[in-house]
Amino acid sequence: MANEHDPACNDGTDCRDTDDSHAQADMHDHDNGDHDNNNNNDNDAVLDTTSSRPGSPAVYIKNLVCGYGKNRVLHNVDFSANTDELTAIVGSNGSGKSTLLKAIFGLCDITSGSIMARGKNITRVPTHDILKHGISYMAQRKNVFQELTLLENLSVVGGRANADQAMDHFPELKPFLGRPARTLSGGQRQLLAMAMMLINKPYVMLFDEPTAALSPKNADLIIAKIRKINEENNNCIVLVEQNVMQALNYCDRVYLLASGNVVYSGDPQVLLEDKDLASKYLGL
Amino acid sequence: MLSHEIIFVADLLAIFSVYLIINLSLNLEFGYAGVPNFGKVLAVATGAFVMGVLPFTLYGMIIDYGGLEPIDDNIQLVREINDYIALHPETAVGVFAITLIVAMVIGGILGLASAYPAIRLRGDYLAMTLLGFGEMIRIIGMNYTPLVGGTLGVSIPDMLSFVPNEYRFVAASLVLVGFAGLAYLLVSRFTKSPVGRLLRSVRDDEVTLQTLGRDHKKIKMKVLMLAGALGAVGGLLYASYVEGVVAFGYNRLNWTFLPFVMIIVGGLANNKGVLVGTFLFVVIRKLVIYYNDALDGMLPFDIIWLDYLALGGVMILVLIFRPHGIIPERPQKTRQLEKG
Amino acid sequence: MIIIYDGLIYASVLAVLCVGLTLTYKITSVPNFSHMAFAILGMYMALITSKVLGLSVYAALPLAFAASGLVSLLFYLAVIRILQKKKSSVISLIIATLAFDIFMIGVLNILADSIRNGFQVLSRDFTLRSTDIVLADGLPLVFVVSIAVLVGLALGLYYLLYRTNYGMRMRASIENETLARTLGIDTRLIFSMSWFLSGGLAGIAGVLMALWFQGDPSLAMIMLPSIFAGSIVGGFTSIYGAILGGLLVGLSEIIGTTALVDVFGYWIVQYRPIIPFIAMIATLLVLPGGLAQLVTIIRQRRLKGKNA
Ligand SMILES: Nc1ncnc2c1ncn2[C@@H]1O[C@H](COP(=O)(O)OP(=O)(O)O)[C@@H](O)[C@H]1O
Ligand SMILES: [Mg+2]
Repeated sequence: MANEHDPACNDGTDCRDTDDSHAQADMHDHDNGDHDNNNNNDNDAVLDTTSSRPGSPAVYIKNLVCGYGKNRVLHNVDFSANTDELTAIVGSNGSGKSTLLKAIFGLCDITSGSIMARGKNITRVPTHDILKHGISYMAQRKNVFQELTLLENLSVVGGRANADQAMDHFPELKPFLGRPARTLSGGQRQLLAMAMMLINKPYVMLFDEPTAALSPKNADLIIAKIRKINEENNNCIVLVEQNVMQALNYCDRVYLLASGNVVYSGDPQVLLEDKDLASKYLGL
Repeated sequence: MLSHEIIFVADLLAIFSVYLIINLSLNLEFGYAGVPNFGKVLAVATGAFVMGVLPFTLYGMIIDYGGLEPIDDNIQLVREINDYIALHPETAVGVFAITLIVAMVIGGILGLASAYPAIRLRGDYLAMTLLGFGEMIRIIGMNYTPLVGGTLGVSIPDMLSFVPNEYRFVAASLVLVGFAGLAYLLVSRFTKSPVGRLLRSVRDDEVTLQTLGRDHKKIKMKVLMLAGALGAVGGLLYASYVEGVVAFGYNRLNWTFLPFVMIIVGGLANNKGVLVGTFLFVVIRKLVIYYNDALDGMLPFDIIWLDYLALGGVMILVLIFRPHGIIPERPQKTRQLEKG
Repeated sequence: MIIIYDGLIYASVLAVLCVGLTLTYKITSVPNFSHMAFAILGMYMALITSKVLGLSVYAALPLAFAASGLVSLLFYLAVIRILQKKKSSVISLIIATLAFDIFMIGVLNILADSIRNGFQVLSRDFTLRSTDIVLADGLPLVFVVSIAVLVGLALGLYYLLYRTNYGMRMRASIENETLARTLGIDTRLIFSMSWFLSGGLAGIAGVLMALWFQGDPSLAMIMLPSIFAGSIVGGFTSIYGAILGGLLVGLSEIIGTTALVDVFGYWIVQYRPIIPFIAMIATLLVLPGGLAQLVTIIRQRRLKGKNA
């Protein structure tokens, strides 16, 4: 097992998680034992063909231990998200959902583990170079430059020409192009952040709670946009969502996090049917 | 005559004592209360200036100066007062005690004044303001001649004139060591008290600082007052030890920056660390000065500037490689209790 | 006339220094207590160019810009960046800049001594005023150049920040570093640039100072509170605030002192450094956000007025 060589495991503190391994083993049964990522080795993961739609992992994380300074938040997390698919990450507040996305962008301190994107190791790639690997990220908060105009926000990412092109997907924003972003409403701001993500035609898009603090109507609009992007571009979308019930209905695959551990990964419907997990972690 | 070795050690101990007092006071402010007093020189210079003025005033009430002026006829007047002290030691004790108390009171008031911005401003603005405070007193001291003779400075009476000549140097040094020991005991007692621990627990927490309750604010004010008074004592003792005050000498390098280097190298919020850091630097600097003559003339520049390079360089290296000093701050007992 | 020259040259120089200080503070969150050291370095570049190399003092402008800029950049890369990576507190960063200031004062004094001993050139309390070109009516060139530098700086920075892609990225990085990085902007480059620019501008300020006032390493300590005051009065957030704050503090120092001399007599000149200190305290107590805050308040009032 890879764990034996994991430096974080030597002090014995970070490799507890025995409870969670049980949970994962349980889930294995529900999944008919054919694809649970946590128990796969690298080769299987690459050849993973069991999801509802064909796909291969665009992002593949193995044995990730990370956190902030000395404070470890994720303990030995394995994660993969496929091209074509919409992968949801759910879990209670503080369970480490945002941290998992941040780790991909080098925004937290990684102790051990590896992060691969389309076959390339990007674990130690500086934040500003991650975009070049075809990944884009929308933070939970502060995801647009408030003092810059909309046009400037879009141009910062990829120049003027691309900015115009991205606007085609967001006609709602056209009237405000010259205004500073701080004058936008919450929903408009999220749309702008999405437009900024799209500019470089990313292969992988990471969304951190894009609907938090929006009205239900706006939230639906944003989710519809995300699903449409997924349909049109056949790219890989990873979505952290608060509205679990909804997310489980439209995602292709789900990861359930609890205190920095993956307690379930796989088919969302199976999770819904598992009364134990659903009541313990999702309050359903 | 005293041997070279004794003079060397006595001088070393005296300077060590002065810096220990000042550093303990800075550690109270910075290490415990979290107030980055980049105007430490303010309290130190205040103590020195009081020592440069008050003894003349007080002796003026005892003896008839016969028209001699403290600044204009400085040397002559000092000699007369010294002669008088030799015959009446008890007056020296009294005058010194009054001067000390006055210096402490003014130092305390200045400390209280620095509490006003300290409670209101955030770290960087506070640092700039306190640095400005320090510069102000230097400018006033240097330019306001009636105070301490302006740029020329003044000599002051030797309060130990009654001690026979051959012992006087050692006696002065012992007096300073006594004061430093007293200060160390006082500060240790304070920092070990519940109030001291409480201070440390709110120090690094910007959020808590913003919402400091009235009690916390009061504690902070008291600490800054105590530290101001203590800093003034350091300056006063230094002035009386060198028997003079030259405002020009109260600069940022010697009385603000050097104390910071000493306490950070020793270890913040840790009185033993302060002891070690102070001793280390006083010894090194003393040795450097001692061997200075050997180097002098060999370099195309004044040797004093190497001091600047060394101190600045050491401070930067320590910040990068040893930010917690030689003796790092110990974890707090209260937190251990919580965990246990 | 002389007071106008004194006041405007000093105020322009101060404004240039405040812009540099505000630049690195705003972009990298470091209050640089060693900023004056870069200006003194520029001053000695002017002395070397003019008295040792025998060139026009104005030839020192690019030289000082490059030299001070490089030293500033090196300091940032070798010390500040490392401390920031270690998540040092702002106070630790301040102590590091103070330490560098002390270090640089040592270096500059060694430089001054070496110039004196090596080339028999007066290197302390020196002025290069006599080498300056005098235009018509006794108008010194440095007066024109100082103002030109300030105006050029204001326009140039406006152009850089609001008319170029690089400037747009700079503004983006200032507002939200993390977001900028996730969007592919190499903020390290932008931060390094800001230190180079800040140091370089201080170098230029130093050359201008040497052309009119007396140059000496001790100015580092004397002028530091003035540039803090100017920056704080400006609000420490905007370039234009810094220019206005610097001009305001600089002019009130010179003109205020002259006015006080008329009332109290010449001795009051010595207390001139108290003026910027008062300006700084007053700003922090009354309007902690400085002129920038004032502008915001006025803007909001006007908006409210419109809405009502
Ligand atoms: N910048 C940070 N510094 C230190 N700790 C953090 C930081 N951000 C998050 N944390 C901690 O990491 C844990 C996980 O946070 P996060 O990943 O944001 O959770 P989620 O997104 O699932 O709500 C929490 O305990 C939180 O307190
Ligand atoms: Mg989150």
